Amino acid sequence: MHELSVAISIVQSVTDARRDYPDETIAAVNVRVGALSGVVPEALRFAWAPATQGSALDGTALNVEFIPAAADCQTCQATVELPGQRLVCPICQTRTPRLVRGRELEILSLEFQPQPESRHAS
Amino acid sequence: MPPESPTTPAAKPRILEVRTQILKKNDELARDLRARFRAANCFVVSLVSSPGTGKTEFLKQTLTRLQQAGDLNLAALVGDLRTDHDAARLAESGTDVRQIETGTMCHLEADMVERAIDAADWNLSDLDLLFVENVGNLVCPSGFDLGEDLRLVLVSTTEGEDKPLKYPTIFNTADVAVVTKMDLAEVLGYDAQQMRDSIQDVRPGMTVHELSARSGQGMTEWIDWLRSRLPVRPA
Repeated sequence: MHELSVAISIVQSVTDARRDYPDETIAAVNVRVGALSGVVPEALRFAWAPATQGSALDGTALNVEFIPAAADCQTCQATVELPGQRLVCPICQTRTPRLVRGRELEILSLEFQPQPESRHAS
Repeated sequence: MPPESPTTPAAKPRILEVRTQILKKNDELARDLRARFRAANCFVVSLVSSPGTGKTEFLKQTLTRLQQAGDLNLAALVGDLRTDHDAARLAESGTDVRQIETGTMCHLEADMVERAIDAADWNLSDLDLLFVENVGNLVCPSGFDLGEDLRLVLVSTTEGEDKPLKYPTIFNTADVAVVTKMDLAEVLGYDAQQMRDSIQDVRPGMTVHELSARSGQGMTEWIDWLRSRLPVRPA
């Protein structure tokens, strides 16, 4: 269950990133996880609650975008999406070591809570 | 309560682009470690496998053979959730071995390696070759760079020829595959070609060593290959 370590890393990075925005409340964190990143989106979502407990991110949502693997196939001269995790072109069955997508493990953005209208303060 | 006016600007989600690697801290620390190892001319090899593949026996025989040659200064770090049994076994080779007890952690991270090295008080410049044996786990260690020069993934003949297909990520992040327990191949009806195909399907072009730490089969070739990877030492 290394997804807990991964979730804790997200919490640390986000905590660093929000330092410049002390007045904002975070509603959600958007991340991107590739098929070959070694991280299972379901397990990461599951780890989010324990990882954020007691932190400024407690109660926030974690949105995980899953990126299927894709490789450059020399034979087909094309970028092909890989249905699983084998680096084998699904069209011509050639092994395609040149991975172009699928290793992503990134924090994309933070969503801030909408701030209450400044009620025509004097 | 009247519904919020659609023109209320506060209803818009406000997004802050972050765009950062999730494991950035580990990656940065691993990069620093790698620079430290390079500066000291210390070559670092890490080992990952399932529990029971025979990592420790393989490493013990590797260390024993290298110690017998006597030309390299060796050290090893070994990660386990509990006990220092593996460190004790490896130390029988005459190598300075330190245990990293990970507690509940299912994998090593760069900071654990750094702490273990600092605690060992080694002068890295005195070491030619450092082995880092990860916790027995084919899933969790894959994403965590430890600053190693070479990552070995081990799989035994007893685990099934399709194991690489079941755990592609770890094979994909490793540099070399080692198939252990080749002495059992015959009784198991082990299909060497199928294992090689499985490995090439998940990591095309990967170097594969087939050996048995117990019988010694393939060990000389492996040691020769490892030596060929070591940086040339300044005279």
